[in-house]
Amino acid sequence: MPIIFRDVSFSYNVKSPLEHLALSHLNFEIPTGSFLAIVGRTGCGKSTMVQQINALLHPTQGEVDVDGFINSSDRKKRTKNVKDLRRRVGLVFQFPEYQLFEETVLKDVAFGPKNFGMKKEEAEQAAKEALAKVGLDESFYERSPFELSGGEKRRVAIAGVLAYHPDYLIVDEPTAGLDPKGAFEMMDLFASIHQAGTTLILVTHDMNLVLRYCDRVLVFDHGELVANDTPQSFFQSDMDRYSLETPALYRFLQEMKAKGLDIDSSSIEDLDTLADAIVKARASK
Amino acid sequence: MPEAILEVKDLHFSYEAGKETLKGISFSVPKGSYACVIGHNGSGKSTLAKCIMGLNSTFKGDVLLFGEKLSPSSVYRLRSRIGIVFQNPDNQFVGSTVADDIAFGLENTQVPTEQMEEIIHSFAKQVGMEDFLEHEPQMLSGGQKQRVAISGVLAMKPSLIIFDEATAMLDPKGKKEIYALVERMRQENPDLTLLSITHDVEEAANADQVIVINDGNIVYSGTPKEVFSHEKELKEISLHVPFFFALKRRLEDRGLEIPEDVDSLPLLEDYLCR
Repeated sequence: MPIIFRDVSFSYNVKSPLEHLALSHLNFEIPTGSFLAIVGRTGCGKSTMVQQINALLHPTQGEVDVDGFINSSDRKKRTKNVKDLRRRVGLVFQFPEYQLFEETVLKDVAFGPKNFGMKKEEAEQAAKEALAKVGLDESFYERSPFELSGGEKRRVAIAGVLAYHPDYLIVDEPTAGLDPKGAFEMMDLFASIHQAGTTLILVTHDMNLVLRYCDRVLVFDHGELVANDTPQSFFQSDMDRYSLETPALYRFLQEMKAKGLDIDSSSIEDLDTLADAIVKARASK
Repeated sequence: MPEAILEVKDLHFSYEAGKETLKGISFSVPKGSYACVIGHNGSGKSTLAKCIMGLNSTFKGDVLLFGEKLSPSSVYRLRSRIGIVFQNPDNQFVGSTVADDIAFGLENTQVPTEQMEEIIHSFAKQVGMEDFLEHEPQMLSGGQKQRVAISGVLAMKPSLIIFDEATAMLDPKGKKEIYALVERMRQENPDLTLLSITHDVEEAANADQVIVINDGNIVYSGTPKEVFSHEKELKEISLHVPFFFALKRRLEDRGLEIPEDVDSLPLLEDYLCR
């Protein structure tokens, strides 16, 4: 079942002088099995939006429906079983490595599943499986999470969410501060989790990651949903007005168009298909 | 050959005994040129930067700055001719306003107060921050912060500026601001030598010389054109090739002849549209 936003608005500090409308009349669906990107400039409402999905924030108006779990502005309609909702929707915050707290890596990763009601042995088994998924072997089990490298810590934190098998995984800027190699390794990890059947929701500023991994992109600006599109089609629109960086390949296509060579972009996915299209466009000129 | 501003000769460095982080690095950077050292995290490029800046002093081999050997007795004198822009813009502010911050280095070198205002204004102008002199550095965007840091460095009239991952924490807009500024600085000061330690290959596409480091060794060194012709080999060490070079090679593979003088993306666009 999809995640459905029905006319969701949200304001911070309601009925105070600091009242601020952060989300405005959002209507959209996130189909099960998507690899979705959420993009937009800093302060556009991306993080506020994802916190509506697992009920860390409640809408000021409208409702969010996650597999029948309702997060509504109306208290009476809200699902009582928030814990079950949060088990299904895993949320990895930005810089999750700062949330580690246990004595050992294994205990830290097992904390989530234990909290959601698994027995100690079950939780440890789940933790071991999650650690294997993020590429950390048993030599890490008994180490303190605080003595690991930055990248390893982040993997431990992500394993802590994977360990309770969420149906939906929301990751907020998971590649911030990583070099290109580290960023692609991290994204390949999410791609494999997505392949295994988890719906992936990625909040990011990096359009190259959107192009490479995501099948759909939601664009936010000043709390409004301004585009719900495929990355390929969105990148051909005017992205500058949302302060988003057009990937090099699409910027090039736009320049070429402006300079008078119209390239058929329908089949372009990467540099090789771009080169094919250029050769074709020149031949038919 | 113009005189070498920086020469590195057979540089070795170890953090722990028996395990070398730098395994014999040699290169030289001529006066007025722009060199980029690229490599992914853990390649040894930051260690190399620290050796050149005199922050790692226990290296073997030689670092020559302005023709003089870097040593404990020469390091302070040599460093006074080098400007360094670090990765995290928040870690390099000392003043409570942009103007104070640019003034800090000048005060340290006893520039008379009456001259200072004019100097500060002219260097803030060079980086396009003259309207922000009374602003608090904390309130600026990442790109603006790095521009202030660069103006503070320029005000010291260095012969060599080292950028140590200076754009790594900036968003795409901030990065572009800095690249444009570097381009302008080079046009305005033809004698200024720049060394950038980076993992951004698009930046390296604009350099005169690219040095690729992997596992403590130089694996490629030369002009961007030479270095980035090794697309496959670079991919094996997790480095990609700038858009222009990657596309040009693919077009040539498809039988398109592209003249020598088409050596930048705008020129390639023009050529293809002709």
